[in-house]
Amino acid sequence: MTRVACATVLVLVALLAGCSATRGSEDWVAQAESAHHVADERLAQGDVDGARQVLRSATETSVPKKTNPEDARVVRQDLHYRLAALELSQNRPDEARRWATAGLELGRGTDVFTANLYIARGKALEKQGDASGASRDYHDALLITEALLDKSLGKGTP
Amino acid sequence: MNPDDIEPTAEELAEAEELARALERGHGPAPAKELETAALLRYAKDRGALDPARSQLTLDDALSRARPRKRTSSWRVILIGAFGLSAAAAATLLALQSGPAPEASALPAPPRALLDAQIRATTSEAASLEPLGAELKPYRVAVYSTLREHYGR
Repeated sequence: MTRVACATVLVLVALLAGCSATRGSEDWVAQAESAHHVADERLAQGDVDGARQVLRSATETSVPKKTNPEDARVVRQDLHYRLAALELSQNRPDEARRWATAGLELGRGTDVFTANLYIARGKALEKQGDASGASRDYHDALLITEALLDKSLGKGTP
Repeated sequence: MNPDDIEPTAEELAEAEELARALERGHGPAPAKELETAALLRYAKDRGALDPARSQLTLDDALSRARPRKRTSSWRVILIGAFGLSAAAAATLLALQSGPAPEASALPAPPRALLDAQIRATTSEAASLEPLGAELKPYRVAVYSTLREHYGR
C-alpha cells in the first residue's frame, strides 16, 4: 500500500515537472505578446514613456530554459524592433540604433524579424547621416526579404 | 550450606531458591555445570518425560514473560522514507529540466504584403516605419499564436 502511494506521488511529481517546464515557455511567450498589446494601448493614449517601459521590461525577462533558442530569438528580436521603431518615431536615432544593434546581436535568421532590425538600424543610420552604413543594412534586409519571397514562390527549396 | 548449621542464612536461602527455579526451567542464574548435572539425574530417573501439569505451568510462565515484538516503523524510518522520496522527486525534476529544448516552432510564412512593406521601407523615400508596423501586426498575432500552441502542448 505504501509502495503504491510512493509510486503515485513520484508519477505526479514527474508529470507536474514536465508540465511546469514547458509552462514556463508558454507563460514567457504570453508575457511578451501582452507587452505588445499594452504598448499599443499606451501609444494610443499618447503615453510613449509607458509603452517604452513595458517593452523594455519585456526584453529584460529571462528566457525559460526549455524554450527553443530560435523561438526565443524571434520573440526577443521582435521586442527590440518595437523599441527601435518607437525611438525612431520619437526622433531618437541613437537609441533606435542601439536597440536594433542589440537585437541583431541575439542572432541572425532568415526571417522577418532579423530583416526588420536591419531596416530599423538602416533608418537610424540614415537619420544620423551615415548613408553607407544605412545602405549596408538595407542590403542585408533585402537579401533576407528576397529569400523569403523566393521561398513563398517555391523557388527556395529544390 | 553447612549441614552442621541449624539455620541457613538469608543468602543461602536465596541461592537455593534460584537453583530450584533454574532446575525447574532448565536454565537461569544457576551455574551451567550444576544445571547439567541436575538434568542428567532427572533424565536417568524418568528419561526426560515431562509432567503435563508442569509442562502447562512452563508454557504459561513462558507466555507471560514473552513481550510483543517491537514495531519497526519509528519516526526514523518515516524520516528516511520521506528523505528518499524527496531525493527521488528532486532527481526526476532535474532530469526533466535538464533535458533537451523542444524543436523550434514552425512559424507561419510571412504574407506578401509584409514582404512588400519591408522592401518599401528600405528606400530613402520611406521616412517612417509605420506602414511596416501596420503590416507586421497581423503577422505578429499569427506568430505568437503558433508559439503559444507549440509550448502549450
